Order: sequence, then C-alpha cells, then structure tokens
Amino acid sequence: MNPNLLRGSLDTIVIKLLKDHGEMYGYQITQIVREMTKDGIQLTEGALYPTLHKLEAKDILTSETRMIANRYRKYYRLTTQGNERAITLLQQMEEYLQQMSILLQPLKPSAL
Amino acid sequence: MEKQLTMEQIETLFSFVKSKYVRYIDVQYELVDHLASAIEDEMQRIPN
Repeated sequence: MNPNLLRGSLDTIVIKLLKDHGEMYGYQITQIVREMTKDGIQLTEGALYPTLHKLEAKDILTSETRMIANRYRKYYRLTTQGNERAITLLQQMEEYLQQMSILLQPLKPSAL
Repeated sequence: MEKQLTMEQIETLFSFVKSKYVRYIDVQYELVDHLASAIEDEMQRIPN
C-alpha cells in the first residue's frame, strides 16, 4: 500500500472505526484494519499514534487510560464534536472516491 | 487461556522504549501497551 495514499486517509480511517466501534485502543485499531483489508493495509505505530494524538488535541477524540494486564492502556472515542465531524468527513470521502473512480476508468474508444 | 506478559517483560519493553528517546511518559505507556499486545498475540499464534 502506497504510504503517500494512506497518509491522507488515516484521519478518516480512525474516525470511521471509532464511529462504528465506540471505544478502541491503538493496537486494536491496527488489528481490525489488517483483518478487514486482509493485510492490504497495515498501519504502523509511527503513523497511527501521531494521528490519534493530533485528533485528540483537536478535540475530535477523547481518551481514557485503564490498567490492563500489568500495564496502562489508552482507549479512544469520538467526542460529540468528533461525531459531527465524522458525518461530514465520511460524506466528503465518499464523494472523493466516486470522483476518483470516474477519473480512473479506462479510456473508452469513442463511438464510431 | 490467553498469554500475558509478566511485569518483568513489561519493564523490559519500557527500557526499550525509553532508550529510543520517546519523550513523553504517556506516549511511552502507549507504545509499551502496543508492543506488549503484539507480542501476546504472537505468543498465542506460536506456542513458545
């Protein structure tokens, strides 16, 4: 998977997953993405955590830390504002994908 | 039963993460959890 393509989509992926699943922690996000795409997309910690922290700083996400199995685990969820932003963002992504899909169609020979 | 890392193993992960100059303590905690979860999964997949 081209990292340049993925970079712009990371916010959308995170927001969509949290919208659907409620609360998740980082490793869980990487696993679900890997499973759903059958290893097509493998998120790295270097990409995911900065995205989560950035979205939290923007108040799109909020986090809660809990003790799990000898260590601390940070769970993320969408804020109210984040939920609203999710609707807009997912709509925009769908439109974008539709338009890209048109542009990527093979060139058809013109009708004779 | 699901395999879990021991306190000692978690400490080792902490040293590793700190040695990579991860500055903020909560980011250290987060990375340790990530690494520990990945290792526990591997331990499930490949018994010993």
